[in-house]
Amino acid sequence: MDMLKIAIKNVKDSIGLYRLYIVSMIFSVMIYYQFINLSDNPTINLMEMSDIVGALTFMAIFIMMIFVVFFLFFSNTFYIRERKKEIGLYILIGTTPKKIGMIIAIENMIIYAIATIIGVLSGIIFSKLFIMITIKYLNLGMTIDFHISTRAILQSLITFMVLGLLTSLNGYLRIRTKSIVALLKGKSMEEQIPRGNIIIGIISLIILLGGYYCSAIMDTMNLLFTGLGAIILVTIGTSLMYRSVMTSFFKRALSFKKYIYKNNRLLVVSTLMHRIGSNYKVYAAVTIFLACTLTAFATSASFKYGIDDMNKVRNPYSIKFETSTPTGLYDDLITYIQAQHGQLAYSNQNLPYYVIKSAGLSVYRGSSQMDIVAYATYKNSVQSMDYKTEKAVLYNGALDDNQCLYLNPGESIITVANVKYIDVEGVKYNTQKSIKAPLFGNRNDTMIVNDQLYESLKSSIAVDENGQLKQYYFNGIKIVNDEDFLKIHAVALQQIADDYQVTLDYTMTSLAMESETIFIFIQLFYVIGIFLTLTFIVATGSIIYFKIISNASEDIHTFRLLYKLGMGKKAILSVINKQVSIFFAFPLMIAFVHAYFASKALERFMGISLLVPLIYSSLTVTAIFFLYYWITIRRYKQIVLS
Amino acid sequence: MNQIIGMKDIKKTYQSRGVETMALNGVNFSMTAGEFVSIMGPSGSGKTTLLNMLATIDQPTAGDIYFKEHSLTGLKVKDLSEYRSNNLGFLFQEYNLLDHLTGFDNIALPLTFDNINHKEIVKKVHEVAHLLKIEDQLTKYPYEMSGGQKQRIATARAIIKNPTIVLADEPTGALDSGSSKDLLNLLEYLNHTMNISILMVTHDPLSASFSSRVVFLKDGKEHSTLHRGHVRERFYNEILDQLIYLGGE
Ligand SMILES: Nc1ncnc2c1ncn2[C@@H]1O[C@H](COP(=O)(O)OP(=O)(O)OP(=O)(O)O)[C@@H](O)[C@H]1O
Ligand SMILES: [Mg+2]
Repeated sequence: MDMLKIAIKNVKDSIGLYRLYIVSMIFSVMIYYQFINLSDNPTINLMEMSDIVGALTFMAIFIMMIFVVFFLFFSNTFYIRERKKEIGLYILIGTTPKKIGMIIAIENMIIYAIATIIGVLSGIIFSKLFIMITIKYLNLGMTIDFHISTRAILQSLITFMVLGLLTSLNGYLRIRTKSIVALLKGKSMEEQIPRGNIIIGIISLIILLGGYYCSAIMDTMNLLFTGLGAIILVTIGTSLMYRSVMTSFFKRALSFKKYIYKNNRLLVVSTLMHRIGSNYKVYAAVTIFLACTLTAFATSASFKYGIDDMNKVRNPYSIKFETSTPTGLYDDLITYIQAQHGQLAYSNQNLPYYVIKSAGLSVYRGSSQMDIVAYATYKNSVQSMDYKTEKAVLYNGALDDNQCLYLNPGESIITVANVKYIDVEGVKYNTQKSIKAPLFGNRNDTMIVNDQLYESLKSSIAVDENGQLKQYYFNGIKIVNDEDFLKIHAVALQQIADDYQVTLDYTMTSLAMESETIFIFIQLFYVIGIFLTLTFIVATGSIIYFKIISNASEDIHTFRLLYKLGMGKKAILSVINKQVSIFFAFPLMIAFVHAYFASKALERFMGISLLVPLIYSSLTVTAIFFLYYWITIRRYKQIVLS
Repeated sequence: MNQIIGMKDIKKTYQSRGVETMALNGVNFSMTAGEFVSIMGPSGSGKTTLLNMLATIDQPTAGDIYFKEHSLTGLKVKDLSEYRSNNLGFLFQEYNLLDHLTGFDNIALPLTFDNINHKEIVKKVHEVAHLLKIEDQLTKYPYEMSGGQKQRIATARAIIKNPTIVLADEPTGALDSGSSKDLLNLLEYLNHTMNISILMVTHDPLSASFSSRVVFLKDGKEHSTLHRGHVRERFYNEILDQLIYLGGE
C-alpha cells in the first residue's frame, strides 16, 4: 500500500514530464478503439463488401500497433532514463532496487490506466461526433447507426493494459539490472561515444536491402511472411544504421581535417555523431514511425483519388438497360434526348454478353458468377468512354484460345488479387491481365476472351435447359449533367422504355458517391486515415522535440564555453540551426526511402499509383516538421542563450 | 611600463530577483606584459567577476576596461568576441573540454573558428602538444583522461593561438597536489619561455606562490598586494600570513 501511495504521488509530481506520453497514449487508444469499433459496426457487417472493409481495418490496426508498441516502449525507456538520478537517490537512502522497480512499475500502470480509460471514453465520444460530422459532410440521407461496441471497448482495454504490463516489466527490469553507480550517474553513463563499426555497418545495409527485397516480392500469397519480414528487417536495419553506419560515417568525416576544420563543421558533426549514436534507438524508432506515417498518409490520400476512379468504373452510365434480343429502344432514347437538348458524353448500344453461373477463380472472390464478353466488344466500349487511368486497360497482343482477361467491376480501391486463371467447366483459361475498367458498371466480374472463343463458348455455355440461346444485350448512355436532365425527363424516358417492356436503370454519378455504402465507408476510412496519420506526425515530432530540448540543458555549458573561447554569436546560432535541422531532416529523409518501398509494395494491392499521394504526403509532413523545427529552435535558443 | 590589460574604477552590481549584489566596488587593476599575477580573496569577494570583466564575458556597471591602452568599453559584440579569440586564453576549474571531441580536436577548436588552413591547424596542435608533453592524450576523449590530463589539454587549447594573456579561474581547484604542481610548473614555464602573461584566481597559497604578484580582494575591492622576492618558500609564507590576516579581520 505504501508503494501505491508513493507511486500515485510520483505520478502527480511528474505529470509535467509525462504529459507528452499520456496525451500520445490517449490518442493511440482512441484511434485503436475507433478502428475496432468501425469494423464491428453492424451497418458494415451487413454490407456485401464487409470482408474488404475488414481487411482494410486489419491493415490499419496492424500499422497502428507497430507504431504504438514502438512508441510506448521507447517512451517508457526514455522516461526511466530521465529519472535515473532520482531513482539512484532513492537507492542511496536505503530503498531496495526491487522496491523502486515496483514503484516505477505501479506508476506506469497508473498512467496506462488513466490514458486507456480516457482514450476509450474519448473514442466513444469521438466516434459519435465523427459519424455525425461525416453524415453532415457527406450530406447523407441515410443513417448509420451510432454504435458502441463492447468488443471494441474490451479489446482496447485489454490490449493497452497488456501493453502497460509489458512496459512496466521493461521498466522494472531496466532498474533491477543496473548497478547503483550507473543509476546515480544518471543519463551521462549511457551517452558515451558509440563505436562505429564498418562490418556491422555493411551488415545493416544488407539487412535493410533484405527488407526492401521482401517488400518487392510481397503479394497476397506470401503476405504474412514477406510483410512481417520487411517490417522486422527494415526496423533492425534502420536501427543498426543509426548505430553503426552513421557513427562510422561521422567518425570518418571527423578525420578529414580539411573538411572538418571549416565553417564550424567540427562542432556540428561531432555533436551529431554523439547525439545520434547515443540515441540511435530513438532515432530509429522515429524513422520507422515516420515511414509508417508517410505510407498510411499516402494510402489514405490515394483513397481520395481512388474513389473517383472507382465511381467511374462502377457507374459509367447515366442510363442503362439490358435486353435479351437487340432492340430499337436505344435509338428511341437517343432521339428523345437529343430532341430535349440533352448532351451525350458517350453511349454504347447492344453490347452482347452472356453469363456463367459458376466459374472457378484462382483466388476466392465470394460469388463466382461471371459475365463473358468478346475482346472486340470490350475494346470498343472502353475506347468510347474516354476513361483515363495510369494502368493500361487494353491488351496489346492477340489472345489465344486458352487465354482470357479478367475485369474487376470496381468494387474496391484495392485490387484484391491478381487472378491467375479462370476455370470454366473444367477448362482453365490463363489470365493474361487483370483489369479494372468500366464496362457494364457495377455487375459481376467479367471474363474477356477473343472473338472466336466467345462464339465457341457461347454455344456450350449460354444455353438454358431447353437448349435456348441465352445472350444479353447491354445498352448504356452517359449524359453530361445527368442529374439535371434526368430530374425532368426520367419519367418520359421510362415511358418510351415501357413500349419495349424494359425498366431503365438510372445512375447519377454525383449521387452515387453519396448513396452507395461502399463509398461512404471508404470516405470514413479516408477521414480516419488522415486523422491517424496526423496523430503519428504529432507524436513523432514531439519525440524529436523532446529529445532535443532535453539535451539543451547540457548544451548550455558547451555554448557558454564556445562564447568564452571567442566564438561569435552569429556562428553559435548557425551551429544551433544546423544541428536542430539535421535532427529533424535525417529521420525524415530515411523515412522517405522506406515509405517509397512500402508504397511500391502497396501499389500492387491497389489499382492505382501511390507516387503522387506519396509526394503530397511527404510535402505535408515536411511542412509540419518545419513547424516543429521552428518551435524547437525557439525553445532551444531560449534555454541555451539565457 | 607597457600595460597590457587593466581596469579603472570598475563597479559591478548583479540584479537578481530584486536583490542587488555589489560584486565589485571600484576596482583598479593592471598588468604588464609577461607578468604572472594571482588574485586571492574570500569566497564571494568578486574574483571571478573581476576575471569576467577582463574577459569581456560580462559588462561592468561602471568603469573602463583597457587592453594595451585601448578602452574596450562600447565595443560591439562581434568585436569583443574577436578580441577574446585573438588575445585571450582561458583555463577553468572544471577543465571545460567538449565531451564529444578528442583531445586533438579540443585543442584545435579555437583555430577552427577562423577557417585557418587545416594543415596549419594540425601542425600547430602537434607543436603545442609536444611542448606540453601530451602527445599520447590526443586521440583520447575527455572521459578517458584524468583530471590533470584534461587540464593540460585545456592549457594547450588556451595557448594554441599564442594569446597575450591567459585568464585562469582556479585551474588547480579540482586537482590533487601532484597534478597541481605539474600544472603550475607548466604555467610558469609558459610564462617564462613564451612570455605569456597569466592572471590566475586561486584559493591555494601554494599555487599563488608561483606567481610574481598576488592581489587580494575583499568585499569587491582590492585590499592589498604582495610582490614575490627571490625565494618562493618565503613568498608562500607571506601569502599565508596575509590570508590569516584577511580571514581574521
Ligand atoms: N550572475 C550573478 N547574479 C547575481 N549575483 C552574482 C552573480 N555572479 C556573482 N554574483 C555575486 O557576486 C559576488 C561575487 O561573486 P564572484 O563569483 O565574483 O565571487 P568569487 O570571489 O569568485 O567567489 P568564489 O571564491 O566562491 O568563487 C557574490 O556575492 C556573488 O553572489
Ligand atoms: Mg569564483
